[in-house]
Amino acid sequence: MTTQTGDIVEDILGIVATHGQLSIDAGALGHDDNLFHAGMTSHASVAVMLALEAHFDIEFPEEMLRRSTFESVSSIRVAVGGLLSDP
Amino acid sequence: MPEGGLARAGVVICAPHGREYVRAHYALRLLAEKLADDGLCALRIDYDGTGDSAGGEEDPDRVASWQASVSEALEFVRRCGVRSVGLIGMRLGATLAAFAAADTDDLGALVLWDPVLSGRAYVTEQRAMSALSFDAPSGLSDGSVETPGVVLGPATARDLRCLDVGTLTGALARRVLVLCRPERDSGVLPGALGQDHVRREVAVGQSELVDVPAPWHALPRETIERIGAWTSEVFTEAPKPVRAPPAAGPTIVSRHAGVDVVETPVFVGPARLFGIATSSPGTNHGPGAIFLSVANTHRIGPNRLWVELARRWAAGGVRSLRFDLSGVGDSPVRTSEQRPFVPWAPQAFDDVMDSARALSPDDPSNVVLVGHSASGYQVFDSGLQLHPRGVISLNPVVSFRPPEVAAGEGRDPRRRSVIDDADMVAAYQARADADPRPSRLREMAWRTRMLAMPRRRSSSWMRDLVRHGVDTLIVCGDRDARPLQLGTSVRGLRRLTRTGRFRFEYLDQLEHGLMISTQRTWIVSLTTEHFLRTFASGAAYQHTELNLQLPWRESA
Repeated sequence: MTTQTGDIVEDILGIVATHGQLSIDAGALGHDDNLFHAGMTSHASVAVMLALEAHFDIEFPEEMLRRSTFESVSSIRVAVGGLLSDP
Repeated sequence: MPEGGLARAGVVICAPHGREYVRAHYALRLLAEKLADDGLCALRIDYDGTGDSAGGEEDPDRVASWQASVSEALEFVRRCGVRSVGLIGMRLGATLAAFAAADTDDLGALVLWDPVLSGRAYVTEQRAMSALSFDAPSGLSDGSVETPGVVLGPATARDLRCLDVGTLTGALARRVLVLCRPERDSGVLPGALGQDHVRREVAVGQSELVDVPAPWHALPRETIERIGAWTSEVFTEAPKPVRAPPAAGPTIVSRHAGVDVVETPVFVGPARLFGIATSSPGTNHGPGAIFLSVANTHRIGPNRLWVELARRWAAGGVRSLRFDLSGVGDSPVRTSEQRPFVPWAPQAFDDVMDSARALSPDDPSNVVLVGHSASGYQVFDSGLQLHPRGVISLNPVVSFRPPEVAAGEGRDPRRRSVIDDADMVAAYQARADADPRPSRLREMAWRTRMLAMPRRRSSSWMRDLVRHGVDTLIVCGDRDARPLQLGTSVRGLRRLTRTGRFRFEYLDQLEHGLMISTQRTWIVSLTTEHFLRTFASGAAYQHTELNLQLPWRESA
């Protein structure tokens, strides 16, 4: 699967907006803003994770299942990018 | 059972698994009562190795055993005398119900309530839920899967991943109702669920029931009413006499250290609170243990911890009672004025006294009270009233607004350790969570507040517990320890510890709900060691396997 970095970020933002249950407008979200501070619950973070797996056809390994992986769009981009380049 | 002994059909209710089971328990009780009111026999079961049932999660063939539990429950209901039967399942219970339906020829009704359609997706979701909620590495490398409150062994995880409702064929039942959450409803139901006799509706209030921690989870009364009404409509048969099953007597539920452990369902006191008494043939005459239900959940304790401790301690000669406080679990309310499903209810004081009289009629103080969270608080204030031999409190929540105060009444005079300035406490703890660094200003404000109520300071009531001879063990994580620590001092705690009757175990990483398996294992070992060393005979203590090593604590 070939995906441009910009596309990845846009896709991640869309998934976070749909599944993250943020208490703020996702459009106002900075890439480094903490999603948990923006209202994302543990349940919502799992929904984001599952949506990311389905969208990018990846599987997050055990060691990446940490809150730090999903705490910002940037951290998610790093994780997804790594899995896409080294499936 | 319906009043009058006449029923039109029988229905087995299949509960979810793990943390979802605990949160759904009272809702399923209400559903069973609704069905009985509508003239149907309803049977709720704990699958093999779950809830109050015999066995444990580490036993072999878990998934097959759970499926067998559903089949046996159907047979049990038929033996009551009903001609038609149905199945209602929630979450993983719906999956088990669907598979049981595929193996049953003449099922009248099947209700799948927020069903787990794919076991593979369920295991992935639960594993992620545990990892992302508690942010603690599972440390499991044998194929086991850590989920919130339960570890799925390698074979269990493998077998669960193979469950796929989409593979089922046939009608499953004469009529089928599927209730989906809006956010999870893809619009298309798989396999047999796509047939014309399958009706799909919205599972109203499901997220508020199973996704929200106790005691804040809410009962989905609209959905309970809807399922009850739909099921009642399906069964149009004329009522016929049914026989209530005989009351269950003492049953061997496990063997620990070569000792048979026996459990008996009991009713406690004039309010007929429901509980389970646990003992072994070698039970000694030391104090019994009373496990209080937690907040508005039922008697099994946090992630079945009370069941585990009751059976383990029974092998060490300790008799115990775990029971539902009034208005929660399977216990009734004490009076018509009492609101059910309410945590920290003042009626708990009477409930605890009744339970002590039931377990130790000659000397009700010859007991040890064990509680967690809301009941971790209750053991303090009931301890000050009863003066039992000991109290064991895990992650107590002493900062809350008592329900009688919230209802506009005065605070129950039996309350002492509660700090009921809930807004101040919530603000303090929320700020501390967002910024865990100590703040002198916050701490000073808190201590000033505590100075205004000297008898409520933890140093005061802890001292009184010890003064009355109550052996006190408190185990706390950081958040739950704060209100206790700010009401005393390090010197004060040391002074109490030197009495030999007080032990304060502070573990900063201890998760409030005891959802992390390594922490639960440590709690089992710590409390078992403490109880048996303090209250049981030396022989019993030596026969109990202890393991107080805990990797996460060493690395903390």
